[in-house]
Amino acid sequence: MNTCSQFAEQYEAYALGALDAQERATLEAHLASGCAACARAVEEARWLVSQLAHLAPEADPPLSLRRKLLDAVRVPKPRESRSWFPAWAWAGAAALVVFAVFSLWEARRMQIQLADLTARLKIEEAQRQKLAEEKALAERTNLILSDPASKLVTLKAKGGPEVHAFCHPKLGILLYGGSVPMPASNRTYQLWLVMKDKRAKPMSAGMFRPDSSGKVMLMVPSMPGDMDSTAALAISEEPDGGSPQPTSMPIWVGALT
Amino acid sequence: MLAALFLAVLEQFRHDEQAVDAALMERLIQKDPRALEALYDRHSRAVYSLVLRILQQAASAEEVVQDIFLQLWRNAHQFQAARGPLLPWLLTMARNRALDHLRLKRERQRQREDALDPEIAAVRAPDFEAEIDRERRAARVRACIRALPAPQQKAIEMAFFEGMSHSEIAAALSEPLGTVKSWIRNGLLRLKEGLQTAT
Repeated sequence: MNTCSQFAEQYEAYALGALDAQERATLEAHLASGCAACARAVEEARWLVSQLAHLAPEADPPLSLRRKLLDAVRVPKPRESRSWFPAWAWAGAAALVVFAVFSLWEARRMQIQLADLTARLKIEEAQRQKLAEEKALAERTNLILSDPASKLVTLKAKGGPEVHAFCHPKLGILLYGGSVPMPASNRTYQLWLVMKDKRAKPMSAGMFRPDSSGKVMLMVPSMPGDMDSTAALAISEEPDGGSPQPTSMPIWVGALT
Repeated sequence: MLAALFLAVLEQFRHDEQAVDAALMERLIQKDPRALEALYDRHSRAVYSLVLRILQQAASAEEVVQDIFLQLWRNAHQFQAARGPLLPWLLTMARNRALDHLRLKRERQRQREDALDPEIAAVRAPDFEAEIDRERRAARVRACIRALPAPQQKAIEMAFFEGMSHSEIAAALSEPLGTVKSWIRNGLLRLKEGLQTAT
């Protein structure tokens, strides 16, 4: 059984590395057994031995050694640059990319939705406008029909259906009829005011085409000429887009009495 | 009054020296190259002087010193600041490295490539270590050893700088083994007393 006292004279020699192999092995076995007192004594002996370094003549290391050493630890530039952009930053960047892609996708989706809504809004606006026009037409029609100032004109055609018109000096003309034959695709019907003054030229009051069932409905918002000066209403067939003056004989004619 | 103040500042400065090393080692663990640069500037002269004295050849000394500081860079976490200052630890490590180099113990060197030698990891400074500055302690060490008889001084230097064992020294000096053991032990005890009384 080893005791610490038997090693007391060996701590310095052990720290110096001067013990012979057998002595060293014995002391190391004792240290390995966990003797704290001897371990501490050896550690302090190492400090004492390290002081012998002051016996060495002082010498400065060459500057090239400093440069070589620092180059050796600074060489891995990529590692340094990576350290400026650590793992959490990569995670943040990845999150930003994901967010950007999601935002683009979301923006695109919203753009499509917006376009769809705009289109629907336009249709609804058109429908609303159409309804408003129809409502205005119906109101005006009612006014024209109910006002005693209105005059009913029946326009007759040779061997064709009759077309009727209510004329009001301020509210305009309401023309309606049924079973009206469809003109050629490049032709249209045009309503004219035929004046009492025979030197005056007919005045265009508007163009119309019957619907697929032959029904006709034309609202002329205001009289293009003085109703008292108007002798009759006439309808001719004209090239598509209408004519400033009739280019064909009237198909329907009705006197304004 | 002024002298007391001066001593107090000096005392603080000495403790600061140790604190500076400890702080630099902390930064070294964080792989800050500037910390290695600062540690090299503070201690390379002492380390290089020792290694050059052992190896007697500048090229080899430079190689070993570079190796020491690179090992410090890689294994800074092995240094235990609580046990004492950095320099004695660094010098102990440098001596072992240089002696290994001297003996051409390539195999042992290879084994130490990636880790500091655990047997040198523990160096404990005595309580009086911080109470005397490095220059004064160096002068004291030289004075203590030079005060010894020449053969005793020689025996200590052979052990320290050449890594020779008691038996090898006894053979080289043609002295009895017991005498060499006493010379070395007594010389080191004289040194210890000399450093204690210097404080």
